[in-house]
Amino acid sequence: MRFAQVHCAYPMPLLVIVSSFISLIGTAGMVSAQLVIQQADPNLIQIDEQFLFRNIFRTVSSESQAASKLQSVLNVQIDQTTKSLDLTPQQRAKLALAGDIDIADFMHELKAAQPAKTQLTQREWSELHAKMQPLQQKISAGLHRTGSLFQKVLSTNLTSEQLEVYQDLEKERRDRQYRGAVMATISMIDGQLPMTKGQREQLQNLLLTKANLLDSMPDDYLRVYAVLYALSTISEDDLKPVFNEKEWVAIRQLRIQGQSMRSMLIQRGVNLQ
Amino acid sequence: MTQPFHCPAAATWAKRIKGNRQWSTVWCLILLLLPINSGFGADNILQGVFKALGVGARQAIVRPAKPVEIEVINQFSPMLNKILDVELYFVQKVCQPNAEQAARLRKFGAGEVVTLAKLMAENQNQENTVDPRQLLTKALGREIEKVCSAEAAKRYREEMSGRLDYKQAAAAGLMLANMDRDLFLSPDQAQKIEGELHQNWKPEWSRNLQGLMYPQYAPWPDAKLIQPHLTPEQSQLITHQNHGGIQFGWEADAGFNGWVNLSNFVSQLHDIEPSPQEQK
Repeated sequence: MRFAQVHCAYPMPLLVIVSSFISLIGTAGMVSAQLVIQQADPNLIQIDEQFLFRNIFRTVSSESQAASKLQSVLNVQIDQTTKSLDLTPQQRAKLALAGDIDIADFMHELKAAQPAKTQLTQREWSELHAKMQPLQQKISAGLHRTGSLFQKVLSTNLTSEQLEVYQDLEKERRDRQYRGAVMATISMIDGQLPMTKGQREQLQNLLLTKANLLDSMPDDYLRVYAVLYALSTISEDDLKPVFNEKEWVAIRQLRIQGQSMRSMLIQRGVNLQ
Repeated sequence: MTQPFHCPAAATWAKRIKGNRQWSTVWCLILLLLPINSGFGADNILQGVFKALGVGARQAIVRPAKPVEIEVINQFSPMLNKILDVELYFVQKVCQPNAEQAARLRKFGAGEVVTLAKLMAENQNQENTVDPRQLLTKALGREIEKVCSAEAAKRYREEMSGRLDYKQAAAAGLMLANMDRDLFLSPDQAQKIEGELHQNWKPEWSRNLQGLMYPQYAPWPDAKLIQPHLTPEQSQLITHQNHGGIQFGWEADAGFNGWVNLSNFVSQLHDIEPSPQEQK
């Protein structure tokens, strides 16, 4: 009989439990909906804690990953430099120390730029971008390249023979990067102004020999603008014979576009001669 | 005899509410009505339950409509016509067809644009399946063989081959520069890796050069291809590379809507009939 009573009583508590469960889901939904409404403030810009790292390093999303990536790149740079210049252990140790200091300085700047909150006003957003830009430029140009302590130590601790070899290697690297960007830009022009093999060769030759060369190449889409700027520095007498009259009108338009890129390229840290 | 299931906790609970069934009923109704009153209808509640259980809501399966509608074809025709204008201008430069030959090629090209538009419409949900520029120039090349002289057709073949080779070399140069950025390749390494790239080239690498301008999204060769030419430290660095991918759309793949904008030049090409002395 006792069991029978219990059997009869089961449906009611079960119903209470089920209805409580449904109620909880519904109430949670209502609460979360209210949260969404609160977050959707059009005056605030939502970012997450990884925002800064992702925007500067692209494939890195935390401080430790950033430091680890910079250290790995430094190790490779020191190894490659040691091999090509036959560095002594003392020279290598000095370079490693200088590279470590560059990384520490950069990480300090990075921490200072990290926003304290995840919802920013338009003004705070602009300020964050202003802080991010020089950091992005440093990474884009290579943390241990131009202007770094690593470079200073390198240039002051190498023998004259080592320094000559190093400068030759760097020039070769820069020329390789510039040639790739020149060919890519010519190929892009080719998509709308189709050139013959001869025209492409002449244009490439002029860009490699007659244009104002760049001391450093950006590593993103600015490469195209850098080459368009270089195009604008070639004399008209050299360039015009490559194209017919109709094509020359289009090339002149590109030269104007390239000239207008000058200030932007300088602002982004590209060294123009 | 089998004992029925006995739960002491449930029995205690049952004793407590015995005689209070009306209260329990009212309590259940309040609990059930609460979420509905707060804006969550029965449908939403069920979706909430599905979501809580992690099964999600059922999605309708939409099958692509066939045959392709004319409106969809018209979506692709304007850009395809621009490509045709550019390519016919190139034919003028290279093959120098007479008026009759040029008219035949334009008529043929217009027909190809319709065929390509249909193909594009049928494949519009599949990335990188159709390269309209390549298909159009190949078709034009076949027609040039029929319409123009053998010498003109040969020039066209050589020029088209040269254009593809140049684009591939440009893409290889960008890929190498992207690697060099962190790997500090020696001249010997750079030369060997560039050789590997050319020997094992994949057409998708040079499909859109814009994608190669973003090192974080740019295509990278298989690590096995370049690792034999790298030091262990360099190899370790590339195993940590996490490259995504970036798409600029088929118009950009076809050479338009990019950073190099010559739309004024392209827009006048439809009416250009270059005289022999203007041809390069």
